[in-house]
Amino acid sequence: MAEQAINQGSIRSIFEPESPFTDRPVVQCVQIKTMEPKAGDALRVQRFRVVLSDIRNYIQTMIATDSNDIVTSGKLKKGSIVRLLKFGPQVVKDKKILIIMKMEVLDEYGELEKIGCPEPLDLKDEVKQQPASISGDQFYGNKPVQQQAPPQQQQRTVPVHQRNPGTPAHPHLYPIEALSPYGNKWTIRARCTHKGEIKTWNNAKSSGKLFSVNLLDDTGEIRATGFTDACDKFYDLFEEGTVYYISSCEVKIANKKFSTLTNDYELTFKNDSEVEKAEDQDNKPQVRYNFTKIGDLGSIEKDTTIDTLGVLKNAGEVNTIQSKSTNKDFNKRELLLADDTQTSVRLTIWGNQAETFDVPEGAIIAFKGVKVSDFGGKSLSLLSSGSMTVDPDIDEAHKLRGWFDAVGQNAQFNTHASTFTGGSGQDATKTIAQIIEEEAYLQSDSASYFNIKASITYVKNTSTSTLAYPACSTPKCNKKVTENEPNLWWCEKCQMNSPKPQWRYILSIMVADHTGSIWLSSFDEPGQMIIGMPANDLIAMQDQANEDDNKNNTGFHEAVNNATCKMFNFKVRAKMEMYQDQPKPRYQIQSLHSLNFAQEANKLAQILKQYDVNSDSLFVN
Amino acid sequence: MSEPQTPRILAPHLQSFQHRLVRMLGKVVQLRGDRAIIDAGGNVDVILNRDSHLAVGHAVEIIGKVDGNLHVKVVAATDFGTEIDFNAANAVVEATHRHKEIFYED
Repeated sequence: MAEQAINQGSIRSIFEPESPFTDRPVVQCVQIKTMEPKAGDALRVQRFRVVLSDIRNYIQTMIATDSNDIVTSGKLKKGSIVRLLKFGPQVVKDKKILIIMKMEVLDEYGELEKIGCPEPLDLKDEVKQQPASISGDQFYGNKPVQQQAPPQQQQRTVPVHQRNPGTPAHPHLYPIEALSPYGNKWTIRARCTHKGEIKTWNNAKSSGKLFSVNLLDDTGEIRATGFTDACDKFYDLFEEGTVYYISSCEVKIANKKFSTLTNDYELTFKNDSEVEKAEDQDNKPQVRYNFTKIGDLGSIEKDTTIDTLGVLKNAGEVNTIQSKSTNKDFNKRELLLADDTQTSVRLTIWGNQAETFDVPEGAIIAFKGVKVSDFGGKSLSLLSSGSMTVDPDIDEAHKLRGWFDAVGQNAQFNTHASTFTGGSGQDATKTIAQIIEEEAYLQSDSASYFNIKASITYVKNTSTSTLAYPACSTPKCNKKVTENEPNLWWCEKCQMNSPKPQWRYILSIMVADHTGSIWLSSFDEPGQMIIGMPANDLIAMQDQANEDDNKNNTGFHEAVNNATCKMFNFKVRAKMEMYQDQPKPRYQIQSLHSLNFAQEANKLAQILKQYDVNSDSLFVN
Repeated sequence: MSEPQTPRILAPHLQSFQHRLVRMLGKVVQLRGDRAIIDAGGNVDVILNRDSHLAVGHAVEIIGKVDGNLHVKVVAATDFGTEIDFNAANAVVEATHRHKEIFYED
């Protein structure tokens, strides 16, 4: 029977000082009323006032707009039995009400007549008697003129935490998470995590000044801005790191362009806003981070804002650059950060922070509000609304310090900074199948560049000319020399003879990956890495082999065979060239790198994860 | 195969691989006589045999049998040195479980 399902007395107990006896009380909805938005309301959303009864008492409640659909869809009807999942008690003008953030309709009971004779909840002594001037509607939801409320009771609902005891002077403490434009008189107790500088603006419409602060409590963060008069009034009051009680600000939808915080709303200080420094500075909400590992940066889109944590490997000098647009001077400093994903990245800090930066190498720094950009590979920039904390006392920082002390000091780091010409944008890593597919698109006037990870399968070694050419011994002169007379090699450029040339590789090698194989040509530097010895040595071995008539030639052939099966990351330049009147794509190795197995493994892991994005998986990586 | 299967696991998987022969790659956290604790996605108690010589802070691959209280009795241990990226290694394990048809029979 529905009567048994209902938790009688639960409504009263919600307002008792000790925890209410039921986590998610079941009650009956006895009335639903719609409240239209008032004219001038920024958000034209209707709100629903619902009267709930637990048979012993009834109480007015307001449904949070996010849950409006439960009424608009017709699920919640007068007489329905509901279970409250997320709710908060409030006292408005001496009346107790509930705000319901989440509820579910137990439609197995259907819609019943009002059960029993519930009485309105009395005001008990826990309500501190406040001078209340009640005017207009008694119902919560209308902007009250002046009212005070008892301290917030123990809440069950998740976001509302219990460490914000209301004091007589600061009644009605709200969690930042519950702030909304429908707020009536609320007070928040929050720490100022960041105070921006006073900025002035001057445009066609108006001119003035503003400043903003980021406020944090245990439930969330919100940005607050003060303009002109409010700017003057409040700017000096705020200090980073101090906890304040703040009330009577305007709550508006956040302008995401200016804020990196995730709150949907932001506050604006008005002339009657109140900001008071909290007497007890303990219980300060901690700055909350959502760290991204440096190794994962490769997959983050540019212009995303993230938090990151790393060891300071290197700090550059302060540089001053001029902004092209405003001709203002900017100070900047580049830091090199690394973490236990074996990757390092450049992070730029600006302005005052850059100037006064004095952190020792090896310190762990946490950054909040860092923008990812693809300048010169992937790099990071600390936003003005971001913050930097050195050696923070949080778990991840301790873990990182432990890792660094044990391993990190000597570990090799892969860098996200690309080291190729231009420094803007990154070459794509392609599979050989992709390259072959795209052959048709190669142009004869411009080259395309890409990376491949492949293994060498064959080094063409049919004759000397396919391996190396004799080059002038003069350093830096790589011109081919001709042997006009035995042991006299003539260089056209230097106009001189030398007894022995410097052989330089011009290799034709076949490489393969799991999708196909392709011929690459390589010059001396990559050649040395592939064969593992200077060209001179190889040619000498080949001469030896030829002399011995391929009998004891294990040396040369062995050397050539040893080159096979090596795997590298090749940076390839592709161009269409004409060869005997036929256009042929030519692939040339610009440079090659040995594989960093850890990094490659991580890359592959990322690709594997993509396979599972669409499937339902219990394994969460 | 003549050798028995040794699926690769991490600490959270111990429960589902009880009484089976498994393979784990972890970092040596503590040595205590004939026992040790390694961190393989979580701390694991291992019971060493006479031949295993573990070094704290090194990565080690343990092949062993999971017992009733989720300890691993080591059959063979190989030192993997210090240059192991555990993120990559753990990703491998997760991938093998996701596609376990390829890697081991259940």
